[in-house]
Amino acid sequence: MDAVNLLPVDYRERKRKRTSPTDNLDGRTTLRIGGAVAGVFVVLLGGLFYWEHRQVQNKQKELANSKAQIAAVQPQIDTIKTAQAAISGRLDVARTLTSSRMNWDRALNDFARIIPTNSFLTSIQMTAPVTAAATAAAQTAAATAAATPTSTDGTSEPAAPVAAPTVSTLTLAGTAPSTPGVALVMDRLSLLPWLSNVTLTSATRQDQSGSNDFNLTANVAEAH
Amino acid sequence: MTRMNGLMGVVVSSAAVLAVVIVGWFFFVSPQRSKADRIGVQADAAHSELLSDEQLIASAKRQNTLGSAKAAERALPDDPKVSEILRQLTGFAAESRTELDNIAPGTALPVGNAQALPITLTFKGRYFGLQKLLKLMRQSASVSGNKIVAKGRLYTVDSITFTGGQPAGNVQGSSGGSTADIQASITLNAFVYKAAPVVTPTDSTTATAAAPTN
Repeated sequence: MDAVNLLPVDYRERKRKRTSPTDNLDGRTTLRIGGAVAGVFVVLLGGLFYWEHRQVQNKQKELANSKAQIAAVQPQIDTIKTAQAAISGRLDVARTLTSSRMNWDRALNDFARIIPTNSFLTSIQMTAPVTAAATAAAQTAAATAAATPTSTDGTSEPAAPVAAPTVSTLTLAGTAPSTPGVALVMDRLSLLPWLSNVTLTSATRQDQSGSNDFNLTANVAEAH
Repeated sequence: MTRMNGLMGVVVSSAAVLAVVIVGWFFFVSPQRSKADRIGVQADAAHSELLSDEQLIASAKRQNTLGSAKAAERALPDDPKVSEILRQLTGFAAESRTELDNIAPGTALPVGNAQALPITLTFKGRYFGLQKLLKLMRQSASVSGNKIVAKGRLYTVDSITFTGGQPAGNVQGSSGGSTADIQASITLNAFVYKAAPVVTPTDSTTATAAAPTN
C-alpha cells in the first residue's frame, strides 16, 4: 500500500529543504570574521611574544648583573678560599703538635719550687707520643709490610705492629747529696700533679764526693 | 553554490586561525618562553652563587680569616726560613736576658703533614731567664679553639741539658732564683708545613735519624 502525504503543500516543501547553520552564512563574511579572529590571535600572540621577549631581556640583564658582581667579588673569594685551605691543613698539624707539647716554663718553675736545695738536675728530656721517629718508623713498617715477600704457601707474612708510645715521658738526670736525697727528689717530684709514675732508672754513688748521680723517668699528664 | 561558500569560509577561517596560533606559539612565543626559563635558571644559579659568595665574605670578615691564615703561615710556613728563626730566637734571648752561644739547625724530618727542623741551642743565663725563654717559645704560636694564634714560629722543645756552670736544682732552690749563670743546651723543633715524603724500604737514613719530639 502506498503512503499518502497528508501535509499541506507549503509545509511539505519546507520540510524537504532542511536547513543548517551554514546555510545562512555568506562566504565572504565568514572569511572576514575568520580573518578578524586570526588577527585577534596574531595580536594576542604578538603581545605574548613581546612579553616573553621582555622577560628574556630582563633575565639576561639580571644574569649579566649577577655575573658582574660575582666577577667583582671573585678575587676576594679566591683569597678567602686560599686562606681557608692554608688554615685547615696547618690547624690540624698545629693542634697535634701543641696538644702533646710540654709546658717547659711551668715545669722549670715547679722544679725550682720542689727540688731540695742540695740536689740539682743536669738534664731534662721529654719524649712525646707523636714524634718524627714514630712517624718514620710507622712509614718504614708500612713500606716493609708492602715489600714483604710471600711465603711458600703464597700468603704474605704480616709485619709486627710498631708499638707507639701513648703517653709523654720525662727523663730527668741530676745529682743528690746521698741516696736518701735521691729518694727525697723522687717524693717531691711525685707531688707534682702533672707527673705520675716517677721511676728510678739508676742512682750511682760518686767515689770522691759521695754524692749520687741519678736518672729518673716519669709520665707527663696530657693536660700539662 | 552559496552554501558551499559558507562552509568553505568556515573551514578556511578555522584553518587560518589554527595556523596563526600554531605558528605563533611554536615558532615565536614558545622559544622565547623556553629561553626565558633557561636564562631564569642561570640567573637564579648566579644569584645563589652571589649570595653564597657574599655570605662567605661576611663570614670571613667576622672570623678574620685572612688574619688567621697569616698567623697560620707565620707559625707553619712553607719554607724553613731559618733566618726568621734566628731573628726570633735572638729576640727571645734579648727579652729573657739570656745569651745564645750557639744555634745549630739539623736535618728536617717528616712529622705528619709537616717537617720538623731540629735545632740545638746553647745558651747562657739565669735559671729564670731560661724559664722565660721557654715561655716565649711556647707563646710564639699556639692553638686557641679553631684558630692558630701566632706571633712567630711554632716551637716544641724536646730536651734541656745543663751543660756547665751551676746546676739547675741548686740554683733554683736557693731563695727562688740565683745570681749565678747556668749553661744549658736546648733541643727544639721548628716546623715547616709540607706533606711528608714517602719513605722507601731502602731509605734507612730517614727511619734511623735522630727523632725530634714534642
